[in-house]
Amino acid sequence: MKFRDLSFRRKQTLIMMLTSSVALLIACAAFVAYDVATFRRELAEDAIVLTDAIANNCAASIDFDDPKAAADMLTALSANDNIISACVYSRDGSVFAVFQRDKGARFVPPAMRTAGQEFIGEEFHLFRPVKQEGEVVGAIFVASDLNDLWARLVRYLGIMGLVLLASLLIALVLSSQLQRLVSDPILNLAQLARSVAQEKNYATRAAKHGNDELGQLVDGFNEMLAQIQVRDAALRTARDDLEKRVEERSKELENTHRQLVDASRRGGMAEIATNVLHNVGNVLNSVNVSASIIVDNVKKSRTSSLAKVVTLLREHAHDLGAFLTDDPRGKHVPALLAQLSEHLIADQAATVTELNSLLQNVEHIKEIVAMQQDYATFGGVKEIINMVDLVEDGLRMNRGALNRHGVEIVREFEQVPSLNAEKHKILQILVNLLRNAKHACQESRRDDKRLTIRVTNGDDRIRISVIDNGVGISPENLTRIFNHGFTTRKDGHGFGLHSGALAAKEMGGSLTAQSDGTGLGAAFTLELPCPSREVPNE
Amino acid sequence: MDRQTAGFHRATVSSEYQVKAAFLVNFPKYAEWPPEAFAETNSPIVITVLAETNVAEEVQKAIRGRAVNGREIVLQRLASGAEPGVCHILFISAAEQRHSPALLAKLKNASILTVGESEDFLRSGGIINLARQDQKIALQVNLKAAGRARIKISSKLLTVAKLVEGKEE
Repeated sequence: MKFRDLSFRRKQTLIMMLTSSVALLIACAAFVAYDVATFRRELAEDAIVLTDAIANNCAASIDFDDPKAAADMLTALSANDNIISACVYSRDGSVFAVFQRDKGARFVPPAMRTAGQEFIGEEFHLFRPVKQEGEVVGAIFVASDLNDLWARLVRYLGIMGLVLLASLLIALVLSSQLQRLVSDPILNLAQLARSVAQEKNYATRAAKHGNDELGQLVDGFNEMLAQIQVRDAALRTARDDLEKRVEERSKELENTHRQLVDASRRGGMAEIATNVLHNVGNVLNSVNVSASIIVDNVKKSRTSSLAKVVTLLREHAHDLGAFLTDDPRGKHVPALLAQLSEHLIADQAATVTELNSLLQNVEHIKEIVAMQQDYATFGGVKEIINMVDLVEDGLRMNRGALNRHGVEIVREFEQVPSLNAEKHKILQILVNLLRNAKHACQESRRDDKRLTIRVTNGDDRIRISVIDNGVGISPENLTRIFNHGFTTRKDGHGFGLHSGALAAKEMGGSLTAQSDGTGLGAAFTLELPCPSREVPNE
Repeated sequence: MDRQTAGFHRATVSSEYQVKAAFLVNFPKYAEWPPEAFAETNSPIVITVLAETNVAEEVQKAIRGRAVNGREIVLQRLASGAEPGVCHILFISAAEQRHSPALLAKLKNASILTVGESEDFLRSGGIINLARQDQKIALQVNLKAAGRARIKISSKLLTVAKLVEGKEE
């Protein structure tokens, strides 16, 4: 675990422990260093005192050439455990007597020096002069080991370790207790910050323990919380206000939408009405033609010839027989009558035919008007719809125009379930699509104008496709064909497809356009949801 | 010191008299004469030799440049039968042994450190005898005689002495 990730409390303890151990170590090291130096000095001093005492007693043995006496003197050194070897030099520097603690060890006395001391490796070497009455008669050399020093050092290190351990233990206990003074407020603050972050309760406040930096931190924290609280409240107010405003706006939008839908419905109805009127007009034209023919027929009727025959017969009423047999004019009367009756029968037949046609046309008008009334009446109400019938209604409404422009109609109807929907909306869309297709065919001026109506179903959806082989739609127009106000026709208002798409969406379906390009015809598909379970079967 | 060392060196290496001469010259360091033995604080220490010329020469060589406590060491030769004048150490060689009893008797109370090299020198009242022992020169001291002469012999010298007579119990 990295140090920076340790908990604050552990960090503090660690720092305290580290600090105290470093301080203790330095202190101990200083003590040991001082002690070692002191010990060395003392060692040297002790050695000098001892050596000088021996040296003092060696003078006579040198002066009177008695190495044995000198060797005896040196033997006194064996009392000191540290001294490993020693020797006495005579006046000329030659070795006079030798002492060795370990007799087996090889001892090569160094060259004589009358004074000097040095620590060499693990030994202390000391040279002292041998004097008698102020005269230097020789020298003495003593080599001392530093075992005492090492032993002392080891002892010191042991004590130091114990002291260090004990101090650190006490420091640990103390620091773990004392650090609470600092860490507890911080940990409390951290805990509080965490709980505030989790519970979002900005009304909580941190408790203050003093006026130090931690106190300032607590103050700052509390102030922050207070500010957050104020802002929170302001935000909440603003949000509530916003919600209210959004609600109001939504309501307004809903109203507008409803008005728009209404308008579009009315617009669609108007369109249907226009269409109906147009068709009615067309039929009326036929009616007019029929009426004129009848009038002409009646006008052309040979009733005047009949009247002339009747007048002639009445003039010859007294001699009717003679007149019919003898008079040249009378002889022609029967033939004339036969001719007249023939003509009248023919006229009557022609008139009856025209009248029949007239009747038929009037019936068609009645039908159209009734249909229009039907859709106008049931606008906005869902009902069970037979899609094929609806498509036929749409075709019927446009029959006149389609016939007039010689558009072949191809029906590809699959068996589809009945649909629960708003009839007028679908009809509105269909009428619009049929009219558009008719226009497209008309504009293309081709001979084989064809309009295919395909009704299919699948995936719980009914699809009605109106496919023409007219002028088609360019790709750039295809993308905006459903936009409000978009139209390619001179007299178009760009409302039909837009409202059709909206209506389809409103019913949970869609209206899509597809065209391979200009001149390649177009296909519009109205897709409506038709969940099978919603269709009542009984 | 180099010259002293050199002299000492020769003494140890060569003849017996070189050693004895060195001993003679070293004695002033281990003996204390009464103050009246010296006229001045820096009066020389006089070593009188009653010996053959070559012995005197060895002593002269050993003396060269030596001084004890600021006092020079001076050599004086004594002719056979003559009496020493101002003198601190008197060496009577074996060859002059026949004179020693009379001389010693005469000088019995004088503060003179008498040094001999004969077996009965100490019995004759001499203070230090240089005896031959195991190829070495051994010191023999008669403390009674020293006490008579009011000469204090250093204990250090006594530690190296092989024989000490008249030691007070």
